[in-house]
Amino acid sequence: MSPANADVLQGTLDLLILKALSVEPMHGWGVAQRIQQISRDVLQVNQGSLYPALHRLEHRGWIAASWGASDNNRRAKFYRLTATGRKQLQSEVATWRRFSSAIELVLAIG
Amino acid sequence: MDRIRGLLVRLKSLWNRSAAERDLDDELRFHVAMATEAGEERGLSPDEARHRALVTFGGVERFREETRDAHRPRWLEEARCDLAHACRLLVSRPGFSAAVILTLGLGLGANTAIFSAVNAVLLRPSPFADPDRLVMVWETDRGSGTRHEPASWPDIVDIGERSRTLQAVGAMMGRDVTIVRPGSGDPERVTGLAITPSLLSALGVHVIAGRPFAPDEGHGGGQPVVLLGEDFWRAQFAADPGIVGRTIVVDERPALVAGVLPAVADLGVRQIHERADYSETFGAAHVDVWLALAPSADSFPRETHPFLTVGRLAPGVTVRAAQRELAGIAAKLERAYPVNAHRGVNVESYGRVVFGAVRPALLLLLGAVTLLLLVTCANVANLLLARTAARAREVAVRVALGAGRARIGRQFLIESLLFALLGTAAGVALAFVALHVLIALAPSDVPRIDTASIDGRVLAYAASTALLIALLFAVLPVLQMRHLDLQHTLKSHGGRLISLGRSARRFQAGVIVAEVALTVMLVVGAGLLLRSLWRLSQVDPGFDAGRVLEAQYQLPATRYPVDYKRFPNLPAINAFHARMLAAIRTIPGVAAAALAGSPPMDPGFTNSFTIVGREAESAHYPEIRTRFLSPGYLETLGVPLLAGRAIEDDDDAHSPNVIVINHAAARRYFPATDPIGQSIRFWGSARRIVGVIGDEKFRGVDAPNEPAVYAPLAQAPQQQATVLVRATHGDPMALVPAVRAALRSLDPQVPLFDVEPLALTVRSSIAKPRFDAVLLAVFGAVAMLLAVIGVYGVLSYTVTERMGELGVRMALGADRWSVVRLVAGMGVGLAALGVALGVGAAYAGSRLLRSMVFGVTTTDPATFAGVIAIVMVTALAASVEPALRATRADPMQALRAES
Repeated sequence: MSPANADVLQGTLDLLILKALSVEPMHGWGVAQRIQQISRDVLQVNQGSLYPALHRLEHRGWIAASWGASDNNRRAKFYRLTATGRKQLQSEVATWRRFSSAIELVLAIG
Repeated sequence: MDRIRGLLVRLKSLWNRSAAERDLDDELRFHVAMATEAGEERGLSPDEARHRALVTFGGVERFREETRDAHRPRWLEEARCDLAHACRLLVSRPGFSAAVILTLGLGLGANTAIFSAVNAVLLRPSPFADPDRLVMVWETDRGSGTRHEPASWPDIVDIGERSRTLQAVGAMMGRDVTIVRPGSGDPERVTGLAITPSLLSALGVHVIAGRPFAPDEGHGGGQPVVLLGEDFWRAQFAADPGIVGRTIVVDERPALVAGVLPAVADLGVRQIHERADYSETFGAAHVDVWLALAPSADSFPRETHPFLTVGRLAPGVTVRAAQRELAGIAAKLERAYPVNAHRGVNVESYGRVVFGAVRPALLLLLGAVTLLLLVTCANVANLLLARTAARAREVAVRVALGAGRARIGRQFLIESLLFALLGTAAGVALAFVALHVLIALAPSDVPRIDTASIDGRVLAYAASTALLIALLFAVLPVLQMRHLDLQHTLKSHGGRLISLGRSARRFQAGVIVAEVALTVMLVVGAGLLLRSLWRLSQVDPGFDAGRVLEAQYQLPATRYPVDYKRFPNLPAINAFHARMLAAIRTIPGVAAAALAGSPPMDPGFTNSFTIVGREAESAHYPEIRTRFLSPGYLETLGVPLLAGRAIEDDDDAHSPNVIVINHAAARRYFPATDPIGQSIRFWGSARRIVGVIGDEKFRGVDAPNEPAVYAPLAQAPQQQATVLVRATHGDPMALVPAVRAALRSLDPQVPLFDVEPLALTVRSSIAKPRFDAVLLAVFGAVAMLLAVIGVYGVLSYTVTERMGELGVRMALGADRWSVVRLVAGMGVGLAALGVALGVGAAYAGSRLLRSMVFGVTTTDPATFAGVIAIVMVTALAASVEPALRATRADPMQALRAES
């Protein structure tokens, strides 16, 4: 299954993760918190989907991981966006915009 | 780049499963810890916060599984499943699996064993620097037509000085010596090679301990210097480097051990001696002691030709260019020195001399064993075909459930890879054993066969062959399954065999035909070699070797000097030989005894000669084999006296010189006249012919009879003598202690060596053809067995498959005989086609054997007819059981099953 045809939910999570990481590298917990905060708690990220998604993105080469120390000095795995990931983010954002404006159009007219 | 990084992460997780798992655990633990902290910040108690965090997180195991899936590529997971499936199949049908693995193992094992011999003999790098630049420099004699004569010392010096194409020249001659090791009083006879110091640098070999010979070593009366061969050093001196610098006694004179040469340094020495038209004998596989030789024109004048000469070509010079230049130099020497009349040179590549004789035989064996491998492959292919047919249901179910063709193909590939892997393991184990047998059986004059081992290159060869076979076998079932009829297969009854497709059946028949054809080729080759071996063993060597013991001794020059001024009146030597002969004759159980200059079947040496009264004509006769004997020689060996009288006790140093000639010499040089009473002149004196005796073989039983003269040992005394003793009854080896005691009683410092029954000497002379023939016969027999199994298997399978049809035939009135004919006819028909193809191929290919057969042509009709008969009868025999089984088809059952 190619990434473009991924189901919408999963595709959305990937997009959110990439977007969150585009600001700065962070660990899985941080990604979840960031998405939750910015969406003002509308989007709750299920941990059960988060980590498989992170690992999948890592295998595709869109994000890279390394071990570092967290703010409170715990050992944590930090993810950062790769160059490929950044391009992917741009194209996914464009796709999402097209998609959501199309839905908006349909809703507005309907 | 980022993709590659992703791949690396994946690979790492495969490689290091537990580390990846640990990483994941750490990451999750961190998450839970952060969630707990967040809870505490919201005012929960630590326990409550941790509990909430875990609950929110959900099942850790499911979660791990999902993340793991992201890690492990799917194809790999599937491959693991396929492998497990293949293993289960392998174990569930142990009989079938064992048959496949053992058949493959047999083919691969034989192949690997022969390849390791080829590898050791032909493929391993030469111990010499730039071996392609090494050449042998032979002298030729246009008078006698010989092209591989050793050279004279002054000729070697002149060639070395004048040649521009040769960069270095060295000379060698075999010279066995008697040595006494320090701390041991017993003299022992060892294989020696006398070399000029320049030989080592010409060959480009280096000592492994001590130093090589100095350039001037051996000149002018200094202390004799020797180098030890590595094997001898290890065996006799326990590889003690301390021996360097010490002295050992060589031929009763103390000699300095300067160093040790590696075992490989003597590569080719034996083959060079065998190639020479005449030479000192060099019978051993390895040189024990290397002696420094410092010839001079005085000690080795231009008319003596004892030196085997090795040259190193200057960079960029071809053998042909060297031949041209050296021929020019030889022509100048011919004009300058009368003794060089008719002499030229023959430059030959060193590699050709060393490997020329053995290469065709080894390649033939490799070819034969490859045919055998093909036969085993054919058998395994047939086994797999039948097996696939039986699994059509399984495949149909899987396809019906959605498995792709590629997935099914991969399953078969993994199965055949598994078979190939196990077959290779079995094959390498077999090769390991077979190689030991091979080395033990191999004739000792095959260069460096004793170094054959299963090394990296051999393993790579076996593995790549196995891989090729595995791929081949994986393709077969896939092709076969291409036309699988899903509906039909799934509907058919569970227990029933699913029939092969038409194309598969045709393929199976083709495999049998090919298998029989390959077998025929192998068996024809084996048959030709066995027939020529039989011919060789029937050749009369000219003497009766039964119950005859042979042994040698050598009198040291220190106490038994050869004074050429008094020759042949050398009382010490003559008296010793006479007393020795007398002592042996008194041993109980001795029927007859004699002494000779060289052992029977030993080529000995040749001499130029003239016939008195026919000097002009005979000046250009080729050299004649010159042998020495004591009275009693003819009766000991059973050589017939054809005319005149034999050598008698009165023919000693004080009586007129006499000589006996053989039948070949009488026929060639005295075709019209009676040779008795004529005289032959050699070694400066005329010798009257008193008798004519039967021909003995000198250069192997396959060589033509050569003219020879036999002089009384007492009139041409030699320091070395061969003892020949015929026992009255039983094993002549039982006489050895008594003969040894007789020698020791005369001189305790003289060892007896080369002791063996003469019958063994004769047998060993055909060791090489016997080796080739026996190996080919074994391969042929195995191929035959496999072909029988193949024919039987296919017929048996067909009968089972067609049981219903046969039952119907019988229900409709076909008699048993016609059913037998139907089934057996199929087997015989396939075999006949295979035989026809095989005979054709063998007829075309047997020409390759031309240099290896004796007394038969390579298209020998009797051999071909015999092979055809044997293979056809065997195929018929293999068809009998299935054919009989076919007659037991039950018409009722068949009709019921079809309804």
